[in-house]
Amino acid sequence: MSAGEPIARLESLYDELLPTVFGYCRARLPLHDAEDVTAEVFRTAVEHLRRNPTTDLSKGWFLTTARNRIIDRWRHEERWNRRLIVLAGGVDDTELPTDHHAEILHLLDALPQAQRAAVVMHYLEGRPVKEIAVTLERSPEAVDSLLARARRALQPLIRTTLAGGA
Amino acid sequence: VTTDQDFRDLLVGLDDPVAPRPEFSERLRAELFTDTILDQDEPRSKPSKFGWIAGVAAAVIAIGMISVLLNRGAEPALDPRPADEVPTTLTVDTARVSDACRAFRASAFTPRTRDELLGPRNSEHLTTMDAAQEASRQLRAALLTLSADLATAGVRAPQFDTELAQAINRLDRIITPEPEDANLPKASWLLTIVDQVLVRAQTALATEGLGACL
Repeated sequence: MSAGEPIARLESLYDELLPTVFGYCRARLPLHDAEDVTAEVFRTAVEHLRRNPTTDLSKGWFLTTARNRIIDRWRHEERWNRRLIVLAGGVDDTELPTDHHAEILHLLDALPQAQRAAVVMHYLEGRPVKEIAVTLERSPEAVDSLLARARRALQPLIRTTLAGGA
Repeated sequence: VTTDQDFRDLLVGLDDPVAPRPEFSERLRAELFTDTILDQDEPRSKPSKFGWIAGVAAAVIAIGMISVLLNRGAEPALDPRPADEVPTTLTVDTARVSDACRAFRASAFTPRTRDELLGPRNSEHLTTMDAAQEASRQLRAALLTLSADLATAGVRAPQFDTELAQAINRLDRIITPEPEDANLPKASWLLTIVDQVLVRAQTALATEGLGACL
């Protein structure tokens, strides 16, 4: 099989795979970082298919690759936090909330990256605190603290949601 | 009182598929599949099998691709060598390649090491945005010089050129950042991405039969 065939197949699946990968990244990262990681995942896929034309890349491969890169990103950010450097910028204001998910993403974008990582892994992925601690290279107590602070930040949205009966 | 279940309910479905911005989607599609098609159209045999015309074409392609892909062309992208320096033989000038690689390694990262600049702990070595930008400018210049030197030495590696353009694109995002990129943590992260791209660029050179360079 030539390298062109699987890449042509990937192109035919691009419209289906792109929203899946981007949606996964966007829940976990601010907009531009999510785009960066999404692009990196697809570049890796193309490179992988060039070298291994007989491989069939599944949706699972894309999400696993995205997850690994997101974790790299979280850990990288974490090293900055340890050095107590005040991060410039941070809140991504290029998207305004237009629906329920956009509103949640807007709030998550405003959280420090480590809090967001803990919230997503715990409440969206259902991972236990110990596993999150290993992933983020922190102690379980530190993860508990991250979750507590994130819960406080998200509290107003929860109240609104509950009051709205959603 | 809110419970864990309230938070689970709040986030449920948050990572469902969602379409990215159309301009992002189209730009990535063009990058992935247009470049790939171009690459597939080119014969992937060793450079030594090409005549002098291909040697000249390789230099032009290398220079042209980078010039086109650079989206912030405020400064001259390349300093092409005079035409009489373009090899007219069938083979890659390996001595010249070695010199080019050595010159790149000597100038690209100094006074830091590659790992200090591009590694996962680069944040420990870059303390200001100015430092990150200066280092990025230096690496960008070294990459462009390397590209021109390799082309002059008869190296023809379209995939290498593509990866190099990707690396330069990331460096440009640090040197002249958009507002969302104009902070040190983001610059530091982009440099780690540059590292991954350079690994792929090195792989592309290896595919063409060349040894460690970057």
